[in-house]
Amino acid sequence: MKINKTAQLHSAQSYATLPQPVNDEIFYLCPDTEIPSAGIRRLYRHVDLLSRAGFEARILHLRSGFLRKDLPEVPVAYLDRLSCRSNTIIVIPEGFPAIMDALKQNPGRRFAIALNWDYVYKSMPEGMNWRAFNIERVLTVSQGIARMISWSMGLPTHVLGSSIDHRLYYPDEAARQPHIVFIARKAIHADILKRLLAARNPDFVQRIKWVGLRELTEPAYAAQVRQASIFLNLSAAEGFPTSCLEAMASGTLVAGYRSACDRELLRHQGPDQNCILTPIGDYVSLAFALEPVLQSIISGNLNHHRQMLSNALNTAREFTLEYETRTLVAFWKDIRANRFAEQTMQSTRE
Amino acid sequence: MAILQAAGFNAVILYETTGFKPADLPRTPVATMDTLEPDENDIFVIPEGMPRIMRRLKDHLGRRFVIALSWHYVFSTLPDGLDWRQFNIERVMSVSPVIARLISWSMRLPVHLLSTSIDHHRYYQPLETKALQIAYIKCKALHVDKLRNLLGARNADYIYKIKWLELGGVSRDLYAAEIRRSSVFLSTSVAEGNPTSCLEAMAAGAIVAGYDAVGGKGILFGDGPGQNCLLSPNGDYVSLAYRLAPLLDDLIKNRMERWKPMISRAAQVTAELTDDGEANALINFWRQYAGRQKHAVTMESPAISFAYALTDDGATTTSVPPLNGSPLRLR
Repeated sequence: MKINKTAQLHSAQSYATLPQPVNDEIFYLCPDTEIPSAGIRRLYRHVDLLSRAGFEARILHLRSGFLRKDLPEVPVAYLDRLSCRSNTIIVIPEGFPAIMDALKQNPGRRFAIALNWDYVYKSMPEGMNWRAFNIERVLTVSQGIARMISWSMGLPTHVLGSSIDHRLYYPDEAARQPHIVFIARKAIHADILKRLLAARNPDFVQRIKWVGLRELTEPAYAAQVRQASIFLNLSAAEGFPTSCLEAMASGTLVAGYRSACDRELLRHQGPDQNCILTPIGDYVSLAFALEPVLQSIISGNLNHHRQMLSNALNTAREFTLEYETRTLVAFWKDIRANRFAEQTMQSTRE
Repeated sequence: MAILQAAGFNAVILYETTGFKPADLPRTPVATMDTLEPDENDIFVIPEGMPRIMRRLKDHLGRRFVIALSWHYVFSTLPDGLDWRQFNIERVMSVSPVIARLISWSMRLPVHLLSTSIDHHRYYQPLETKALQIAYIKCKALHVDKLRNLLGARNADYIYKIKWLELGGVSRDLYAAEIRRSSVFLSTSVAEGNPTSCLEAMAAGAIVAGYDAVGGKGILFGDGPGQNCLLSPNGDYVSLAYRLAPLLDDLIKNRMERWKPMISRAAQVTAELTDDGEANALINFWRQYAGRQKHAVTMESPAISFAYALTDDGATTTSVPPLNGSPLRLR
């Protein structure tokens, strides 16, 4: 990485008083990994949407030559060749404090994007936080994550819209099967839950097919989710619950663990209940809660759960590409117009 | 073991192999499985995490009970398609209502809920002022680093003015002394059976904060008029930080008045967990069920064997009842 050591250093506060360049160069830092990840898809999508809206936006991979060919074709740059200028804005994912630290004195501005609440403090060196890395503000897609960042670091946060691909995720009742699907790499307790339910009633594993999803293209993955009766989310630390929303949009009942920062979307009780949730790791309560659903699946009558499925469809319906685009572009237009200058100068801590 | 022997039962610890001697447990009569010659009077009590031993003993003479102290070990150690019924387990003992319900619901075996106790000679509210100290057990500190980082970002005083003490590999006396000194006991394990360490901390006047770890349900209350600790849902250290911050502010400013009702309610919970209560429940259970068969348990015939071995993951699992009325817990 080239670092222009002679360039003037700017604190986050100083930007509010600097003349702003006409066009910022926006770089979304993205890890060099082939793992299917909703977070990485989102980084690419942001760059794609911004490019279409006339912004100079690029994905910033770490090493020259790396590219995700399965994601939209977007402008790409590489950190090991990057020369930062005063109009450079680097958006750094929450799990990369070492890179934040390395870039903290570069020319330009630094934003963080926080998509997973658990990564924020998992990777943070003791006694540090993003203010020490001259992070100016934080983009996120979750009110819960925004609250955590604001509460702990006092940084300005901006909650952007999110979307799911409604062309892939839609209800297809004709294709519905007595299947339970789960993302294999996230399903920490799927085997144990299955054993526990089998002890209660062998039909739960013999008449219902349990399918661990792994290494699928997104269309193939979506077809499995549309077919399934239940989407099991057993992640111990889910960020924004994209996979749950996709399942909801597919008319597939979502059940699993309640994550820390997704309360506003995943509701497990009351008239707005749209899924079945238990605390992280509590597969015992989850088994108790799943039993009536599994009995309904076996009997072929899910009427008792229609309201929950309907609520789920309504929840997912709001997450359109138009919504995501509108909030994303509005945010970057505000940045371009320097509308957050005052906010930059003051702490927003609760 | 001591309770049963004092009550006239013939009970022995059963090791899997000859020569195994745990260093830090009381002396008890022992037998080993490799020299075992069971008869129809014998009753084996096998810990929940040892289906391999259950399978090995399933066709032996005698009866087989399970003692289930950890809910997580029950199904995490079972082979697919099997449960304890296939190992001819007759009934299950537990000290946790959560575990009792789990076993009863899933395997439909009879479950007997026994009492438990804590060592009130070690865990009591000290007269001296508590230290600015948060204690936690090393092997149960799942999210402590992240929680500490999060709280430290909010207010550096939380991690620099308050001592965060990790406890591991210390004697039971030293452990208890540190718990008595601590203002807060942090428990961020997500899978505990009976929350003994939390109850000990409550008896010692430390405010318990953390997760109920499933096994603490019905004992640890984080809300309502019976609140006796600070709880957040399992794994949610973000909400735990929000709940801890006001307590830590008050600790630093030495204004703990508003926390005293919670501390008092916690102490009341633990006051009921006495040696006598545990002994009576245990003896009553064995009087009822050891004599139920044609051959009653007698002093002449080794009848009740507590299996003891290393689980597959290397953690020690024991079902040894207390020698002096205090729970033997391996840390």
